[in-house]
Amino acid sequence: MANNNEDSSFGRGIQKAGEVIILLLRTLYFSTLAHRNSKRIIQQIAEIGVDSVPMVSLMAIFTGMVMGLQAGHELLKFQAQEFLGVGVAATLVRELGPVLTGLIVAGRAGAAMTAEIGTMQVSEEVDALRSMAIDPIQYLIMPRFVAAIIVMPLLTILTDVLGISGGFLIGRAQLNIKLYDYIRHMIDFVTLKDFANGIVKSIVFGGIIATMACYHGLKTEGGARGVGKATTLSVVDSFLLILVSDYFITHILY
Amino acid sequence: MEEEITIRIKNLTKSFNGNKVLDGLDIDIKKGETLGILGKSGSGKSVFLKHLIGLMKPDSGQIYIGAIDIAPLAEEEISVIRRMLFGMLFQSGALLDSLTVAENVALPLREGTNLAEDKIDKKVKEKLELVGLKDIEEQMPDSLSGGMRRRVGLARALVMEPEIILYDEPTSGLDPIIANSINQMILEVKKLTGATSIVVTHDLNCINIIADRVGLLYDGKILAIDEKEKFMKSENPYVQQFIHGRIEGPIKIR
Repeated sequence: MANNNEDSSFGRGIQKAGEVIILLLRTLYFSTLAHRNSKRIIQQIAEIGVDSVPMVSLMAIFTGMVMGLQAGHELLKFQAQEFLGVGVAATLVRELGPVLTGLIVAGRAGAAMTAEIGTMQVSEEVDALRSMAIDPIQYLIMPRFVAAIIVMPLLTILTDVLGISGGFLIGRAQLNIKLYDYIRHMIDFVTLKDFANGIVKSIVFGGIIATMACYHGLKTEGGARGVGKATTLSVVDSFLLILVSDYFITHILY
Repeated sequence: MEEEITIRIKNLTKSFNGNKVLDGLDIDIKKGETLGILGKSGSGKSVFLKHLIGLMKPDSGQIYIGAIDIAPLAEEEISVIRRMLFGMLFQSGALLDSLTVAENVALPLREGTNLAEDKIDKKVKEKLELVGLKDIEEQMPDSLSGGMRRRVGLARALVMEPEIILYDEPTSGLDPIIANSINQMILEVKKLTGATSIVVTHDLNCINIIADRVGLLYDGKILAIDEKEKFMKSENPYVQQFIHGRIEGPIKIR
């Protein structure tokens, strides 16, 4: 009996993975028509991107500052405080920038996306689109997907810049590090490749967030409770996939 | 005289989680008629309607639209048939909340045709006038009453000049006066377009006003179907119980 249950939940997992991959492939196919849907894509960029800026900024500055505090005092023990910039920048640009931005966008924009599409699903708006011979993937999903993979790298750059600035604020105020020292070692040690890898991650995370958010939105059933459940699942799946894929991307890129 | 059959359904079955909603349903729908399908809430009326337009796939059976069985067709192929033949009014209108009234009605034209904007505007105005609405083009759906939402939904269903119009509970949740105005509108549309109309409802008054023929859907099958006058006088115990609203009888209350 227990074995049966395991089988069916394993089967469901495989089925879900298959459905997500089909959704992703169809979305990618429709992305070739992105130029014809520019109005909806721009609208989504505003919704996912611009609206995320305040929260991402706040997160970035405080993350930079806390790193400044933690690393600064450790470095001070070795009289190596001018390397604070390297520590903060390397951590942010390679890892924390894309990952933290991804988690915030998944929690904020991804959840909103699932709730919106899920509500449309339960109020028959998705069926109405299909009844009018409009493919919901082209009309609803593709613009969100394209917007997410455009917005995520931009937000990640914002996180990097503000985080590094936050680290400097603390370095300047508490450890008396000069701007020149803070930047000089950073430029020596943090390479363009680190930056590019971080951007690649952010694009992948953007794709994960939009795909999972739309998948769970389209799968929503059963009214308001269903929308709540779908939204939770969307955020949980995005978080897990971002963290797991981060490891594998890092493994491949370095 | 042989009447032309537009839709022929044979042995249609559909289950959800082992629960048979449609169980060997057969029906012929004639060209140009208004067919009313009665059934109690949860009897599978909407499921039946969604099969006609390919929004749901049957477990088995055939759905002939003209000479084509749409049951085995892929979504893209069904989509072409929908665009050419079908318009559907959903239960609460299913308008897209993010678009204005005019944008909602224009949606099938913008997405499915290459019509110029001025021609689209003209068509939208024409269809809104047909359903008795004026000067509400720029309003958002959430500012409309239930009756108005349904009128806009019907204008949108009509904008592609469909030959077959499906109505899912067009009067449910409306007060008797507004419900009657919707009934009159359905008659008016019928007179102007000559379209084959299929109306699923549990509203006897609606059926009395609009239908040419009436069928009773119970237990996944069409139990009785006849010209309206004959249907209402039928001695079938299911029909009698339903139209008189008796608690005692062969129809089980669950």
